Amino acid sequence: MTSKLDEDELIARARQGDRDAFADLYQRYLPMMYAYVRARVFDQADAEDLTEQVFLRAFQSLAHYRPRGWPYSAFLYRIARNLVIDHVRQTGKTVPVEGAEERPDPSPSADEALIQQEDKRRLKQALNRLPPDYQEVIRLRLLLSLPTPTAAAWLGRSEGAVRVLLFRAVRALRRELGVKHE
Amino acid sequence: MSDESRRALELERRLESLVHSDSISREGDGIEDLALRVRRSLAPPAPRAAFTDSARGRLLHRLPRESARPHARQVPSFGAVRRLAFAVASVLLAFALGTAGVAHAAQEALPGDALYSVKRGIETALWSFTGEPEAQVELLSSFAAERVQEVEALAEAGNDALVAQTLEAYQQTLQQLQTTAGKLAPGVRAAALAQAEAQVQQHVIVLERVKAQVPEQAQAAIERALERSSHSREVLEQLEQGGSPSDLAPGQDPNKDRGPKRTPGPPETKSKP
Repeated sequence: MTSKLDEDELIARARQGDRDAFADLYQRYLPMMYAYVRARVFDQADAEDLTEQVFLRAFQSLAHYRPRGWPYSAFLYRIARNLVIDHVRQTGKTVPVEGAEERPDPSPSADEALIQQEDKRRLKQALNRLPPDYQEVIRLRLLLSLPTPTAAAWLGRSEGAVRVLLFRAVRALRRELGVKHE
Repeated sequence: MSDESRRALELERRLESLVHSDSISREGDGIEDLALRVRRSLAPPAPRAAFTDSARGRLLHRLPRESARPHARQVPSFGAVRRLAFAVASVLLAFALGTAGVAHAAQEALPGDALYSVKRGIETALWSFTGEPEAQVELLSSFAAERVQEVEALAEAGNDALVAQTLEAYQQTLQQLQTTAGKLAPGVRAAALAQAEAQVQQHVIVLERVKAQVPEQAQAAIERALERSSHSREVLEQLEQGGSPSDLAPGQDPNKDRGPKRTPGPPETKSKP
């Protein structure tokens, strides 16, 4: 994992105009930011372009950036989230419930593939019906597998609040799916 | 710990253990099972190898040739300007007060201290030196952060009455921040708003920590401040998206009308921007 010291040094150098230092930051955080954008934007090309735009904006904001004790990824996340919201509003494109790009499964039978596809469709439909903050915590903690401290920094909440929010979100998802438990 | 908090912690522990295992636990109430199912089914695909391999070169090609600073001429950072302005204000006040150490000591003063009025006076002087909305937004963010730090220190000292009073001052500063943010020029808006929004997020973290420390009767004031912080974040986000603070007037549910409707309803009368 990146040390905070490394990150602070890269940011300091980037603020001095060292473009290679910023490119190092870019490579470091690219998978994380791409994953977030891709979880919300259907088109692969759009997701790639938006991800690059996140970092272009971050570069333009370097002069104004102040660390103040939180991870740089939280700042990138805020830019990414706003860009995605703008994109969705302008294009109307989101991750569709049906016809989404499937993750390749090495050897499903035809029946298993259909069952998986149907399960995915139901999950997406149910997820889309949740309140925005429930959807977001599920994205960050489950889809991106962010650890709780990172998700808390991104969402601006305490770790305890994020744990409870995730629990409530998954419980609400279960209700949407109509799963009955005693 | 409440039952919900305990179950939330248990969910987290099981998720951590399931990361390294393919087996789905049959214990518990199925929440962990569903969480793992969501993770496996809906995790986004990894970026294309071609995209990541060429990412660095492509970014360097797209980055502006000039330095990261947006302005062509070299201007001092706002931090340096603020320190200079504080120094000037401190010198002026030191002459007025007759001692150079007073103004410096005032920086650490808390509400209720003898020098707190000097500290707030210096902030007022700094504000009077600051004309550009971008600099004003940053200054107001720093004032808000200072109020939050004062709240934390007062809570640790057990001074609940002053905690409530300082939280009121914090909320007033946030209101002023929102108003000033609406005046930002388009060219600097995105970066300044993102920074302000992120700082307000940090306030929320501190205030939640403080809430856990104070007695129950003091928590209501912190809850109000937390609500105000959340509202401010929403307003700053609205501004960043080209909206207006009035889109989210106090009392209006920011989550209303977002997301798909479950059942068909009457046509929306509110026009979207």
